[in-house]
Amino acid sequence: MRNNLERKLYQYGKESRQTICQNQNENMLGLMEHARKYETKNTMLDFALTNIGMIGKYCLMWQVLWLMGFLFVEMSKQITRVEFEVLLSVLPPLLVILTAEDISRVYNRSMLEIESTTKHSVMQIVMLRMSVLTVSNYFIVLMGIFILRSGLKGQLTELLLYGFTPMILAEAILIELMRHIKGEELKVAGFAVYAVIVSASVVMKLRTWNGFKSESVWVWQLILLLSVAWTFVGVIRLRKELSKYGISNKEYYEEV
Amino acid sequence: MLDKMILKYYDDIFCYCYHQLGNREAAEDICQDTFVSFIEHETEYHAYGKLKNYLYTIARNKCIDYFRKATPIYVDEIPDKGQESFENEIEMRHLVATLPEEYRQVIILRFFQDLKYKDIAEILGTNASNVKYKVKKALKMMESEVERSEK
Amino acid sequence: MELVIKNITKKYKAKLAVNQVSVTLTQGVYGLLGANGAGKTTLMRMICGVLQIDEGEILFDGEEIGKMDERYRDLLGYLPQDFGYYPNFTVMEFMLYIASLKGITGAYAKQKSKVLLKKVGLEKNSKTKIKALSGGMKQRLGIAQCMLNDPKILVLDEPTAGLDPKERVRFRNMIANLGKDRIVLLSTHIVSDVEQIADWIFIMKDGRIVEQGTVEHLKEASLGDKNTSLEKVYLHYFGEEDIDDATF
Repeated sequence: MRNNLERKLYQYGKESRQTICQNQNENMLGLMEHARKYETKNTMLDFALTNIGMIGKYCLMWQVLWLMGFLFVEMSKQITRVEFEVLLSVLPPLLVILTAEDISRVYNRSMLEIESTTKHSVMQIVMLRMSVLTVSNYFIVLMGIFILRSGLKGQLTELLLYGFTPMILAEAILIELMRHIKGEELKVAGFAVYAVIVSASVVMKLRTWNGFKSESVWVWQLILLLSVAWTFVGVIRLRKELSKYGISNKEYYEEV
Repeated sequence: MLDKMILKYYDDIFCYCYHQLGNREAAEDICQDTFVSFIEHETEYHAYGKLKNYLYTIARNKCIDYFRKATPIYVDEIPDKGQESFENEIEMRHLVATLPEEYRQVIILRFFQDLKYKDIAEILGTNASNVKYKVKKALKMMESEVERSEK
Repeated sequence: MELVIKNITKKYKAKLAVNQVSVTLTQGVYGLLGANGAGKTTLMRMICGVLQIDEGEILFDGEEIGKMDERYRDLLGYLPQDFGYYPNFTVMEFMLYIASLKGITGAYAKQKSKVLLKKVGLEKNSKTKIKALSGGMKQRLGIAQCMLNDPKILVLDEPTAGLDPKERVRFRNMIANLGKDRIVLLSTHIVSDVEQIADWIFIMKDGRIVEQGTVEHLKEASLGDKNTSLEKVYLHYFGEEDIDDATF
């Protein structure tokens, strides 16, 4: 008898929660709007965190997969020093291309018009995403190199050189491309760039087998330096381009 | 921070007000009042005990104030789920309404709001064994009411 | 709440796309009627700060919008023509993304998006990808994203282009409602869209406002006949009153 009563009480409780206590979304919103007056928020920080949250979901997956793939390939068989170096040069740029896809998702011409009328600008979003992705990519590649170098005889500086140079070069090219093409085209161009860089890296590496090793290092260092410089310039130019988006931009005038 | 809190607890508090007061409109008003009170005096909340229980306490006090001014109007809401649940609803509401105030409270908090004994104790300002005792007694009272009405 | 547009001009190469336009807007629904190429979109873009003004100024409650900068953009909701989206975003993801651009985040952003999607009838589609939405649904999403920051000024560029009659009616009702406590500027070349809901209509031709007023006023001013149709008024301004005689 007691159990029956308890059961009925619980049942009523559950049902009323499902049927009667519904449709309160507008009331909740009203309260939240009221609450906003009492909470001073740092909007820039919030904006940054929200965007990191959004890109985090898409990119973290790629980054983790990449790292796992890298470690797996390295540990699954005994590879020679040269093979390792090739790997090191070939895989990081892929990371750049894959995460660049996320930036190109929001870098879509027809959306830029709306974005130029909002509180935070296109430039802020693109710069934020690029910074976060670059930092996390570098961190992952660094981690990969540090973890694995103990198993290999090799100068850390050389490994870092082979690992980062193609990646930074890929970045520089992508940033340059971003000033001219957007969206899906950017994604496709990214993959083309990757193919070119990979081929070039492999060819460079193969040459060392023929004994041109000492020359190679010097060439890589030069490329690294140029890539870093190009990236810097590219970022500055991209910033300028984005911050005047919509204003006096010829592309947007379609009616003549 | 505040908006997360609203999202998390609004439905529970609204449900509680509904069971206390008997109709949606009054429940909406008191529920809003409860949260507005909390938002405006957030600095006075010193985090002893759980936030959830604190909200229940505010809601409870507001309901008590409401009772002083007006008698509750019980509106029977017809659930979508058929005759049996409707009858169950009528029966349960009637039974719960026959209980004295302090026993009604524990039944609502325990069975409709699914709270633990120690939480209920915190809200009512007593201890867990007292709550357990009250629940048992309330159930007994409801059983005798059922028997009585079946005669 | 007052938006004063004073003598604004936009030159493009040799042509004056917008030529000395001066209007004052307060709360209500304003229709901007004109043929393609009349300068409607250019005017709207200048109001939204998307395009730089060559001459003249725009003032909101006495303040120049260029100086207000971020504060002005906070008051604005803009739905451009041919609104392109990120096709792979879901409806809710898109709302949250635009919300973050407008400085709205967290549980509040989610709740606001939920409520707005319900208002435009898309609450069941929050997980649908945008590429799977119909034209009418996309426009409704466009309106919903406009409203995220509770704008005081709503600028809609040809919002009903490509919608079927049922969607158009739905849209009209939504817009009429919105005009109650904000400035709504709506451009179109479909006369029936504005006839019923606009409090005031501007007729734009070759970059100038050639006539403005209530629907009745326009009918009288152009054809001297209160009972004519707004369509005939439109034809009066945009040429070819003898279009009735045209046969195939």
